[in-house]
Amino acid sequence: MYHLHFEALLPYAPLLIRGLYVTFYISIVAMAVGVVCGLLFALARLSPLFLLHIVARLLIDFIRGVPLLVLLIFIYYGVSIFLGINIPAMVAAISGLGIFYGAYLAEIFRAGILEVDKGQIEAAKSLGMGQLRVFQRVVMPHAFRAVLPPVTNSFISIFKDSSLVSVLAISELTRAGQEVVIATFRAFETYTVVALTYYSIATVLSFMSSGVEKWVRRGQ
Amino acid sequence: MSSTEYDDTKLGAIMPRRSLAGLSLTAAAATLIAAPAAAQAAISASGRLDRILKAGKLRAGQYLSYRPFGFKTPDGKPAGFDVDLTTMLADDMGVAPEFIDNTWEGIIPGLLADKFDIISANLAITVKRALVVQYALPISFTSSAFLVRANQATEFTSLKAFNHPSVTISVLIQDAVHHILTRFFPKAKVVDFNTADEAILAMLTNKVTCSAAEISYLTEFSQEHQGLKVIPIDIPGSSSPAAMAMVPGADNIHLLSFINTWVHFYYWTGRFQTLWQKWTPWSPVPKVEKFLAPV
Repeated sequence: MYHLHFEALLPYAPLLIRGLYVTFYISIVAMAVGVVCGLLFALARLSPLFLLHIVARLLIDFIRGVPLLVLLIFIYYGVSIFLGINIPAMVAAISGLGIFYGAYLAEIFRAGILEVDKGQIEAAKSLGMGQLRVFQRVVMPHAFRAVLPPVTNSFISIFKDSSLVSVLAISELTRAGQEVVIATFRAFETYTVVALTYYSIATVLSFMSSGVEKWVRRGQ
Repeated sequence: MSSTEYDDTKLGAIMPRRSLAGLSLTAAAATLIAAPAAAQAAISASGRLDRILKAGKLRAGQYLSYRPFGFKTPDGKPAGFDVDLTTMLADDMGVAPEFIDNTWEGIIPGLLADKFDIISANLAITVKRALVVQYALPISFTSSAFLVRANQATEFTSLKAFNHPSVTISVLIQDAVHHILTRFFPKAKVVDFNTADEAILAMLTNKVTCSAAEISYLTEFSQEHQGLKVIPIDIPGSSSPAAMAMVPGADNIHLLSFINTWVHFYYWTGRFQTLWQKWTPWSPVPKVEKFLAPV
């Protein structure tokens, strides 16, 4: 008979809180990296230059074809050994997560950019705006509102997928939970607390995401 | 094992009978003979030991998920036998220790990927590992045990009962205890888990018959939970020494010889006894002779 002892976790609350902080840090920075990568990939895919288009296509296909866990381990150990430099765990985690989500966001950005009404672009061009100006003033604002809901959903995904970086021995929330189990030998209580923490934060993020969607749809 | 050809009178009981220094010197000599170019490079000033001293930092690969050897205190600081050992080594080198945590199956790849300078995480000596890493002289001794439920303990009155096809044993992946299980319990089925506590959880939730791990870890676990019994695997030849490890090669020749010298002092100054009694007080300090012919 397993006796529950949630109070055994109390002294280790700072470990879990620090883990949660690391989870947020990784999620936010990886999201930023993902957005930048996604934008670059999307622009490359839309580029008239055939070479750029093909390279982006191949990269996106490769990244989407490899599981995130394998990609993280590949970057941390494989690329490290191949290049002969030590890639720190945090760098591997953020770049792995960022590139992985960048490949997914690339398709979202590409769709968002292509969705912009052709009439708007033609009108802008007929007013004498250059290519860059058209992109800056007409395409980006429309595309931005279109991609915002999927991007906020991606953030929730990154937040949960950040638990995979525990395999690189980074003390984010999941691994902090494992460390607490090691110290207290109380697996059930610890994993319940960790799961509930992820769930409650994901729910809050979900509400915020719906709020963003409503804001995007206002006036339409 | 005859030891009459070696003189152990000067240093008394704590000096190993067969000279481990002799063994390591032979290994170093063999490396030098086999790679003269590398030896030339080693004679030059640079080498990992010099880099460590210059940087003022010793990066040590740890496994902070295995009490009492490595774990984290409530405020997130590393603690344990291995952490104390590494701190002693770093202090004697005049550098600061940096503890880099790992997963168990990632600790040797991490060393090979230069994520740290040495592994000082109670790495048991196995022949397979010796093919990819370079061991220093042993700093501790690992014995294994089974963990079963107390009400099951009656089924296992002798160790032979574990060597049966109906027995499933959960183990940490890449743990050296695999060699013991293959050698002495070949009929049992072995199931790997990513962490040691997952392996024990599998036993607690009846997914496997028992769990096998290092005896100190299991002893601590059974002290925390009721209804568990630790059955030591005390078959002669089933225990092995643990040692620090580093990447093989000319870059580490000086580091290896330094650590070997340091390990001698570690025994001569009684540090081994201190650490053992601090972290595994329920277990008598093993005689250092055991490190030569592990029992």
